[in-house]
Amino acid sequence: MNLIKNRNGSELTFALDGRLDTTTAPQLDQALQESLEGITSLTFDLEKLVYISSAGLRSLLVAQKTMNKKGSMKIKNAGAAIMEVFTVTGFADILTIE
Amino acid sequence: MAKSQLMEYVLKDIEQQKGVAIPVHASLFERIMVTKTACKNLHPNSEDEFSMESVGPSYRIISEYETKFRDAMRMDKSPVDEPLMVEKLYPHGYLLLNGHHRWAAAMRCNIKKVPIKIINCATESDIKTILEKSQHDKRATIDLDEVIFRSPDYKYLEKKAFIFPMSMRFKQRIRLGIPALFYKLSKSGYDIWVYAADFYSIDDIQKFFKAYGVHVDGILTGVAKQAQNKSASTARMNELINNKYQMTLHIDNNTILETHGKNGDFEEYEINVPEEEWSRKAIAIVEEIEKRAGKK
Repeated sequence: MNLIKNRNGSELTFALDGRLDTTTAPQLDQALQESLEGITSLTFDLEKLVYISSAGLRSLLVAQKTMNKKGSMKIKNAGAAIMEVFTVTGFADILTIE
Repeated sequence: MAKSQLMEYVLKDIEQQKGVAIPVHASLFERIMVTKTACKNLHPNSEDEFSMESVGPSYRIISEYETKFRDAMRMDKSPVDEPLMVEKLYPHGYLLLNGHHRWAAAMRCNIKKVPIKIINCATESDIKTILEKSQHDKRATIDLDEVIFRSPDYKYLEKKAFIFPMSMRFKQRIRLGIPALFYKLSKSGYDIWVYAADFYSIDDIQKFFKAYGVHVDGILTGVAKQAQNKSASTARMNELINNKYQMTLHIDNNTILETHGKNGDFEEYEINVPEEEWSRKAIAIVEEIEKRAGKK
C-alpha cells in the first residue's frame, strides 16, 4: 500500500493507495504513531483505496479514538466498495465520512 | 485488436447487452462443471473503469498479459492460469466481475477459451429480501478472510465441512469456535453478516456454514475486486442496511466493537486470550453485552 502524507500546520492528511488489510495495516499504524504529535485535524483520503479489511478498520478506529481526545478526524473520497464495508460493519456510524 | 477497436468492441457489447442481459444465479452443478468459456461469451462490465470511455483499459497491463500469455503458449503451457471471475447472465453468456485486462489480452492472442469461475453475487434484490425476511434489528459482522478462514496447517481448526467430492469445491478451513460463536449470535437475535475481499458465491458460503449447523444471513464478497463505480446500487443497498439495524457488533481478531446507529458512540471489548480460548471469550463478551442490554 502506498501512503502519502501531507502536513499543513496542525492538519494532517493521509492518502491511501491500494489495500488496507492485515499485511499493510501495521504500516499505517506506524505512520500514525510517528505523525500525530501536534495534529488536531486528521483526514484520510481513500480515493485510491480498493479494499479495507477488519485489520484496516481497527487502524482507523485507533486513529479515531486518538483524535477524539485531541481534535477531529474525517474520511473523504471513499469509493463504493469501501463505503459498503463501512456500512455493513457499522463503521459508517462512528466515522465522519464526507 | 487495436486500441480503438477494443474500446469500440467494449462499448458496442455493453450497448447490445443493455436492457437484454440480466445477472442470474447459476446452479451448483453449473458452477462446478463450467470452468472454461469462449472469450466471446464474456461481456465487459459497464460499471468497471475498464469499460468507461473516460478511463478505459490500461493498455500497458493488457500488453504485459499478452506477453505473458504468448510466452506460456510458446512453452506449451496454459496461458491463462487464474480463472476470470464471472456472473452468469440471462439469456446467455457471463458478465466479467474481474479479469477484464486478461480477457482483452486473451482475445489479442487469439486464445479461444479462458478459465472462469462463476460467482453468484448478492444482488440488491437479494439484500432487500434478506433484510425484509429478518426479524432482527441487530447484526454481527465478521471478516471472512481475516477472522474466519484459516490455512489448513493452522493449529486451531474446526473439522472439515465436507468430505470428498464436496471438499474439492469447499477447501476453506475455519477457525476453532466459529460455529459456536455464530450459534450464540443467532440465538441472541443477531443477523450475521460476513464480508471478504475475494469473490465467493453467496450460496457456497451459506452451504458451507450450513455444514457446520449455522446460518449466515448476509454476505458481501469480492469487495476488493468489484467494479469501483457501482455507486448507485451500492448507495441503495447501504441505505437499506442502515435503516434496518439499530445495533452492530463488529468482531475482529482482537476486539468486539459495539455501535448503536448514527449517534457515533461505541464500546470496545478486548479479546485478549490465547487462540484456543478466542471463541469462548467472544461468546462471553456477547453474553455480557446482552445482559447489559437486558437491564436497560
